[in-house]
Amino acid sequence: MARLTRFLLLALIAPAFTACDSAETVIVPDPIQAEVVNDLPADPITGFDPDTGQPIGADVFTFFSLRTGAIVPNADSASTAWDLGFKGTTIVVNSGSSGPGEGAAQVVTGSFEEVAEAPAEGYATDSEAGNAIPTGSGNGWYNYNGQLNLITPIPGRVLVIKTADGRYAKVRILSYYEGAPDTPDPTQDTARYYTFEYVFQPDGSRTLAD
Amino acid sequence: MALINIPARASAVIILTRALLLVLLTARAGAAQQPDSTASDSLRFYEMADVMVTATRGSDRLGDLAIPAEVFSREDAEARGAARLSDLLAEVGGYTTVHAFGTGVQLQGLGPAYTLILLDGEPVIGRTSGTLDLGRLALHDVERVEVIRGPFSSLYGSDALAGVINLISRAPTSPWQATASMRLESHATARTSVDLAMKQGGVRAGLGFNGLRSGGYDLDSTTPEPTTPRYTDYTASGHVAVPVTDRLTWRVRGRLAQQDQREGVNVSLPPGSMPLTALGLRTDWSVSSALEQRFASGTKAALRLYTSRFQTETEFGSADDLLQSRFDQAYTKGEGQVDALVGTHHLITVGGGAILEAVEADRLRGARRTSSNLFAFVQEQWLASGLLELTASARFDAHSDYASRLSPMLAALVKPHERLRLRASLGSGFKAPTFQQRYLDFTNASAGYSVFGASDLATALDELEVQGLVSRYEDAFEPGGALRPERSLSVNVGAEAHPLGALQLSANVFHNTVFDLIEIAPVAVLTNGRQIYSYFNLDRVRTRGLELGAAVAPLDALTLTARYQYLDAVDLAALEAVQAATIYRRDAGRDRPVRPDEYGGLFQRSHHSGSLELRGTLPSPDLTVSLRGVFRSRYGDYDRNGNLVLDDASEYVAGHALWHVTFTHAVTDWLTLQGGVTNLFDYTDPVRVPSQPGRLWFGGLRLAMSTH
Repeated sequence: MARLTRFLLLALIAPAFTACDSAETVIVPDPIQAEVVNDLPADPITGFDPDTGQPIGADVFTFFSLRTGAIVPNADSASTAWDLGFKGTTIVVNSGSSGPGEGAAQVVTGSFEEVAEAPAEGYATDSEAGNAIPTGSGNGWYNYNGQLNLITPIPGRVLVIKTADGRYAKVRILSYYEGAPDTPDPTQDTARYYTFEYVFQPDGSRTLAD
Repeated sequence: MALINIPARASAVIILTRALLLVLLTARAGAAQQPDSTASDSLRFYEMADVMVTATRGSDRLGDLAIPAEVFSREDAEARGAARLSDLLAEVGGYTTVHAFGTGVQLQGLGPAYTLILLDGEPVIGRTSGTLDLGRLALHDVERVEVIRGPFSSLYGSDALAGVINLISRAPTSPWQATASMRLESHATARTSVDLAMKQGGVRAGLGFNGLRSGGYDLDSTTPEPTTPRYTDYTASGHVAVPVTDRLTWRVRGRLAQQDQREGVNVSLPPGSMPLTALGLRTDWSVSSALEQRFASGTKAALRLYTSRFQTETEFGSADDLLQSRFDQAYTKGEGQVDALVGTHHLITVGGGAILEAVEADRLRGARRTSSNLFAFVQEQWLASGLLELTASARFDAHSDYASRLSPMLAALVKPHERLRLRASLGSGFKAPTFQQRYLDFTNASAGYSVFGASDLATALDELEVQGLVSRYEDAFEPGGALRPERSLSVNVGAEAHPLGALQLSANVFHNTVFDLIEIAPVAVLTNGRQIYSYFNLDRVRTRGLELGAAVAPLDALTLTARYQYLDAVDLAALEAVQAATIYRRDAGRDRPVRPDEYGGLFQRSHHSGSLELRGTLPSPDLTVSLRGVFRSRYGDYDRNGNLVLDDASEYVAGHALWHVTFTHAVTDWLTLQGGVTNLFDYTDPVRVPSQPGRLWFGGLRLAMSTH
């Protein structure tokens, strides 16, 4: 329900703002607007390891293109068709050990709106020694609460991404649980479903806001 | 067996100590008492008279006590109907009980890991995640509970940062005496205790038994598991004190306790997973032997040997696939202590000894780990003048696993008027790294990380280097740094006034900073992407506040006691990050920095807390009524919005009050009936406070017989 409400709100509000802008400006630049992706599966849990109690999935990434806003089939995992890959709490970019592209990323502290321009420096690529978006609680995009078994996106963390073809985008993770509940309950809600928003700059510049 | 060697070793020490004059100051301490000190024990806040051994480490006391301290008497515990130490402290303002891995106590805003618990002066071992479960300690044979506030690592070593709680067993007073009690409670809970004691020709001995059987309780019927499962708990103890000569006494104590939760619990996991079962068995025992010599000169010497063991076995898993884990800790300590009076104004205590510890547990590197700790301490009590008394102490601890530590303490008492005492103390305490922080060896292959304890980090990294597995080190990692114990700097300043005979007031301001808090941090990344973590001295916390107490006895048979604590407890690193606006929160879908006024400090801390007790006694029929209220303002339970700090209203448990009443009726000299209700108004919060079972009824009887 919350997801539907959010979608409807976005659907209503987003065109209203664009309409307002276009009424006042003669030349309309390529619109930069935040897109929201709901419930992107990231190797959903299929069972539990009987020895350790750890969740098990099919061990496959879900690949996503920030350029087209669509999921890329796993058959194209060795191509530059995708920009982000999701598996559990791990997010990879199309670079180094993860893919053949020019991808890179860095984690910036700030509000999503404040990150108006992608930094010029400071990007990392994926390698055997670690991903550009670090894994582990508190290192990258999430905190893990062991008492509650709960994954929560860290507020104020923006993932600034270089796409596989070297253009810029920013991503904010909104939820790790199916349906993006406001207060997820790990005993009831299904983990490994990403809801996130992103802004992609198609013109190759580092500008990420109007 | 080692115990048999003691007399020979003791005499060697004792001969060396003959020298100095000690006038036993019981007479002086008695003279220093206020005229109104015959009032009920509950009136005494920081007034110990001559029954406080913890503050001076068992030695005699010169003058009054310069540090904040208090005593809960047997009468206090009995009037309340408190069966366990956790029950007693939960009802007293300034002692906040917290429930995680058992019931621990928070003193001056510092968590359970920072208070040392002693039984007859010897440390109780067996902490889980820092908490020593106070529910393990039955009060049936306890004469009094002594508490000193502030850092006392200067006398007791590790863990004594916020204070020391010492349970003193009852000493036999009659040729033969026997007590027995039985009590039934809500939730199919029954308690039984039997104590036998004798005092014949200078020999004192006793045997005690305590049994508890609890039916557990379930606050949430939608989950398959009970909130608290059924369990049984037994404690048996014995002691004997034999006069070897007129001046030499030999004391032996033993204790065995077991808690059994083997009847099984169903634990819920995410939907679709298998139902699991959890079982637990805990056993702990201790034996102590002490020789105490009082010389004609008054000098006192003691030699003590103490050994204790704490074991847990747990099973977790489905019926045909149980994961078993165990924990086994052994602790042995030998120490000597000499108290000598120098002139009439200096009492000097000197001592030292060694502690050997061993631990066996899953997930530790190596099958059995051992460590040793050598220590020496000195204490000086100085009656500078009728106005000023000073106590200074210091202890040096050298440990095989972590950096050595010197812990000093200085306290002063000023008596500007016979009805006013001013106290100030300054000291430093320390807490040893836990076994986990020292020896853990844990790899979670599916999540791709390993954690190594600080004692083994260098070895583990060397092994990985040799295999060529280390890809890179974290920038912040500095090899070769030894882990230090967490350490504190604390100040207490207080006053105690007796403006009227029936009125006592006390106030104490405290400020504690704990440095070098040990936390987990990344060290390196392996070539397969596995992240290596270990433990480092990273964080600092600060607690400060005010403790107030008032006791008034408008009638001989009526006392009213009130306590209040204001507390401000913060994580200093988090506070700095909030001030630098680098910690964010999400409001209506937008991220913004947490404002400093939104930062709520450490979790589990209430700004305001307090208690009230009204106790009245009717002479005929002999009936005592004790009505207590315990209050606390809202407190954080855990982070819910992902920024790890307490900042959102959803992260707080609402403030609440608990009321309890106990009626005690002495039918005859030897028979007492007691009944009461705890949590009268049935406060529960199954989700946030599952440790609170709601309203409980209890009723029972106590038999006491003795020969004169």
